[in-house]
Amino acid sequence: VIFTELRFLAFFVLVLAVHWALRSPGGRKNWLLLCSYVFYGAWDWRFLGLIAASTSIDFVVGLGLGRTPAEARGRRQALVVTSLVANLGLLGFYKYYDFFVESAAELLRWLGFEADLPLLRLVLPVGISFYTFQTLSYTIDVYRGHLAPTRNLRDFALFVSFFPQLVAGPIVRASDFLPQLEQPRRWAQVAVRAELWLFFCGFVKKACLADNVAVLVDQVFRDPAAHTWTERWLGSCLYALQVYGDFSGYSDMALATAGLLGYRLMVNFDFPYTATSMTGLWRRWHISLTSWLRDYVYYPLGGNRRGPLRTYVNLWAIFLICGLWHGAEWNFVLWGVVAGSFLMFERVASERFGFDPEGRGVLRRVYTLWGWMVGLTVFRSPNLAAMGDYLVGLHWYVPREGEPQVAVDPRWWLVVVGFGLLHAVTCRGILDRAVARLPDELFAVLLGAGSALALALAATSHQPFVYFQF
Amino acid sequence: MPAPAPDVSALGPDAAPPAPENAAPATPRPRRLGRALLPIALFLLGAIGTSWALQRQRPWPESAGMATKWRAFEQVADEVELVFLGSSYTLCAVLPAVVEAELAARGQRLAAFNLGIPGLRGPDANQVLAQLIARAPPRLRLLVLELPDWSPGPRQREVNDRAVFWHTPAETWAAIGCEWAAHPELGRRLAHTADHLSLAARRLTGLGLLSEAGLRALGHLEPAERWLDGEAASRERGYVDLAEVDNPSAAAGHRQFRAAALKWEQEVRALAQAPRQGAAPALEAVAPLRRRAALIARAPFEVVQVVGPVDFSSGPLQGLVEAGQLAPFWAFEDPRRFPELYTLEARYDDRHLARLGAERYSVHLAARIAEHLEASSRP
Repeated sequence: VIFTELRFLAFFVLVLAVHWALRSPGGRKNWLLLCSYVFYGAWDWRFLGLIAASTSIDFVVGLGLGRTPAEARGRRQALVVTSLVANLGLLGFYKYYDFFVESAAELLRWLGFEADLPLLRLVLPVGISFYTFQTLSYTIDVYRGHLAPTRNLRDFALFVSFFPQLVAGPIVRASDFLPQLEQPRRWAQVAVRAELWLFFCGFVKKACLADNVAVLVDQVFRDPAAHTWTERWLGSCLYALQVYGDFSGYSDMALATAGLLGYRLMVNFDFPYTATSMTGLWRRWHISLTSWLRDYVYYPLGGNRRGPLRTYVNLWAIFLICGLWHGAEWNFVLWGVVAGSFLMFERVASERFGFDPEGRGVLRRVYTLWGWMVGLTVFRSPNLAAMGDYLVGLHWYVPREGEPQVAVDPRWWLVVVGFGLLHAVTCRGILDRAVARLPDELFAVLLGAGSALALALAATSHQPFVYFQF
Repeated sequence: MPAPAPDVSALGPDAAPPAPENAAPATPRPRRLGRALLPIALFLLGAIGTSWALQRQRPWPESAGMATKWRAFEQVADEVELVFLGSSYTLCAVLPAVVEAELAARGQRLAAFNLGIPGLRGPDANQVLAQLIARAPPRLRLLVLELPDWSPGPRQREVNDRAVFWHTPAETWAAIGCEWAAHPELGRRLAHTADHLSLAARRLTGLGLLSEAGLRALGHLEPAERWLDGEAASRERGYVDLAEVDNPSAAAGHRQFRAAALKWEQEVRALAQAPRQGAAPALEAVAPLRRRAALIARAPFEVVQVVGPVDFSSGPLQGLVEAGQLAPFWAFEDPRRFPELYTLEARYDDRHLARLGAERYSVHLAARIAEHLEASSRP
């Protein structure tokens, strides 16, 4: 079930109606927990045990940390290591086992040894990377003393499995969400109009933008050699739109569905394509992941407090982890290296030449989008050879030989231009202000008409969210 | 000396998160139920009104070569006297030039056209039949209609946008009835019912209507449209030789078929031994066949139904004929009577004829048509 399907809308209407019809806060949380498990079980019921196990381990570790005095550092460390090993072990087993075994086998073969290591070909449990990071944030915060351990298993299980953000984020911090569960939710506090508008925008980004351009992106990336220089650029631009529309649209819908249920989630995107540097872009892109990595990896590694060299190493390290978090493939690792290199380059430029990551200028925007699309090409390519071929074709003009017909209609560029204009308008708040000025009645009619139009513009082949695979 | 504060500028905001993209400011909520329901009613009004307006623009299904083939037919519709309508089976099995020549040799001069369309199933064929009746080609005397597989089938339901087009409430209800009659297992019944309801919901809401039109305007074609373009659709009066078009999936099927020649021979032997008469009526076929019969009764031209040299027995359909629930049809699916249509070189794959097979089949078909026309012209 994905958010843009009619059956999800039917499911959510039922969840919402029963949630607000229930009077007791406990009943509402029980209902949400049940619905969250049903939602997750609809993907693959066999993985319910996995999420339940992850929940139980961290709940028990949290209780253990709460009962262990700060002076017993060894015992506290043992508890947090238990959580780390269990969570990262599960994640590593399901997500990285085959990758590392295959890589090891290739290395052995390269060294001249016979290598026939067993592969498991496991199905990756949906959302495991997200909820693993969530539960880790709880354990680490409790260990650090930033958060009191919860004694309510139901609340903790709901924090881990809350369905709006369960399968593709945003990554929720326990310190943000658990306190919300302790306060009763009130319908009067729900900004219904704002949440509906947010859901609508998310739906348009995902179903009308990302899913429709996916058709051409797939075509160009499937066979880059059959496409000209301009078509490859078009493919890369559209892929940038697809990834943004897909993930940002999902995040909007997650925020809106949580908001309609009375809960607030972390904002995940802040108009990233208006950035004028890669540093600025990363401040606006997948904020819940980058801030997680900042707080739980970058700071513990020393951040920028141990000299320039160590800062660069730390930056690279977190982007390597970021790349690996996205998938167990070498192109993701390389993407992390590319992203880390851009940030390192900008940091050097900032220290030596006073480069301001938030400065203005057309050339800076062009550089940022170029850097982003180079990274995305690495990210999207099925293997290193295809990546190399695509990147060469992207930067050197390659006239197509033979067939005279045009493979890609140049009017696709209108989609890119149209998105750019809309992005520019919305980031200045022009659209939001116009919508906010509408009377309620007119807003309702226009939202209804807009919803019908959005459904008509939605791609008929539901593309799974790109980030589900992570 | 205090430790320098960590620089977080490269990693994201450490202040309060920014306002969500596109978030509109909150508005006061109505207190009374009536005031609460008013926005819902207005929302529905906007949605239903827009959806209704869109539905009125719903085009003839473009997908999978349907419109391409219809446009090719339109070019000759005023001259054509004999039409063959069916799925890709008919498309690759009837050579109008051979039929015309055979009929001419028997003293019947008729202009023929092959209106075979890839993947055409029962409800789709009804759609084309209704279109044909509305078009009423002035010289059309005889429509030879393939008796298709009536079940819409999972592939058809899920990926073919044509299925959305015919999922009106009445057709949806009929299709669900067929599924319940065809499948004794409750699980499959419910799953298929959900599929049909989902397609009906797509039709009702207009889901994807503008997306399809937009993608088509930008040159995106379905796989079937890539090989069945306008030129292929009108060449040889509608007949298509699969060996001559760029259809990778058909070519793969052809290679598989050739590689498993022994299996095909076994299937043909089994088919030859299948019962040909008196089989129990296939109940799932009755309701849609009745719907087609009602359409045929309105046709201003004569319609005969036919089962080609396919890989299944029409025994159950014969049972329907015996039960008086289906008009008699011409059957060519008997390897004992038509062995030359089941040889390896006559087939492109298990479902389609090669050109040689099409030539042979067209001769048989023409003979049958000539007999029929002679019989119907007798006083």
